[in-house]
Amino acid sequence: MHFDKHIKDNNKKILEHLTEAFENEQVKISNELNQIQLHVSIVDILDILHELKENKDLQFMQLVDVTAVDYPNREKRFDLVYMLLSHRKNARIIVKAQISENENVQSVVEMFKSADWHEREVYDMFGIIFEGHPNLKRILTDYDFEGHPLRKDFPIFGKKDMFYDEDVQDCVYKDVDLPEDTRFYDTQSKWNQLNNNFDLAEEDKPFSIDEFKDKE
Amino acid sequence: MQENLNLLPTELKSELNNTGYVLTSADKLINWARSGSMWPMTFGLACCAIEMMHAGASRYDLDRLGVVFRPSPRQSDVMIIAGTLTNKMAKALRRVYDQMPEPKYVISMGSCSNGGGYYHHSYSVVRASDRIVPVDIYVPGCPPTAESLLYGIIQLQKKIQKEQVFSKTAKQGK
Repeated sequence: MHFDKHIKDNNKKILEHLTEAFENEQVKISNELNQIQLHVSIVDILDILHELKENKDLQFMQLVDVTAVDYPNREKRFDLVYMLLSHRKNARIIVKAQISENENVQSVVEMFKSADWHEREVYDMFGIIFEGHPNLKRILTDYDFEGHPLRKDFPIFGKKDMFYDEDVQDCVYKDVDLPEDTRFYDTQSKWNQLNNNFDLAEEDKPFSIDEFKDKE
Repeated sequence: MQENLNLLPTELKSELNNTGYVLTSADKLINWARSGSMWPMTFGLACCAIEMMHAGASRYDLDRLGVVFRPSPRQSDVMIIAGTLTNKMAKALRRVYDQMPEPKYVISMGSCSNGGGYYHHSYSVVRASDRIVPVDIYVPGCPPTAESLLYGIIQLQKKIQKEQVFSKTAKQGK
């Protein structure tokens, strides 16, 4: 409890400094569940991060993580998320910016060295391109991997499968061809788990909870 | 020398004492040598590697079977694929396998390596390591215990002992 109070008091101070620092810019500041968030426009991201880092009252000197979230139904489908830590002021902050599929964003590697691999990972998983990145190539998946796996429209099995080809004497990719369908699990229903795949007698078949009530 | 002779089976000892030599077939001799010192290429990819280390350490002690882990493919006879084989690692695995001298054997250890296992439906995992290299022994489990791996190695020894190196029906290469 003491710790909660400490975070609350500390956040209050940080929020004051934030409002002061971003008076003139279009920044939405929120403090839900004692977690400070900034919602900013993607074009000002460099200025915002620079201000957060260099402002004497904030000093968010460490970039903990860069990641993204995909909302496929939205017009600007990605949320780009920067997480920062201020050792001096003992505070953490999340900076979020919406970005569409065809839009590029400025790399922050020159400001934060740690952004190098994080931005490579975001590029690998979401296909967001960071302009000015020194070495923007895939980091986790294979270098000739197709697609970006954390996009919601990426097929869960991937698109290619790897085989060794005796003729080529090398590992080659072939299209995915799974011999069996995936099983369907209905995590909501307590009763109808088998999805009527079994040849059961009518009275033995699993029934839904409503039918169960009718029978009662 | 006499002390060493005392360790041999009585039948063999009497034969040696009488004639000064023993007779066997070349196949048996070669297979005895091959199965008695299988040096595995260490290829630990995931948690199975921890279990492989247990098998190599003092409790299960693979050394007593002549199984000594080597850090180089050039000096190894068998490769233990211990863990999840990803698409990115598959090329490296195949290259290491190609670098091993003949005769070479492969033990596939754990569900992931046998058939994709937990990651069978993943986008970046090879769905069975026998798509990349020919596998001799599959050790099931997730991860297999050190005993399982030990049993797999003993099975591979038995397999090697059945090979015919010089006869015409011999399986040349793989």
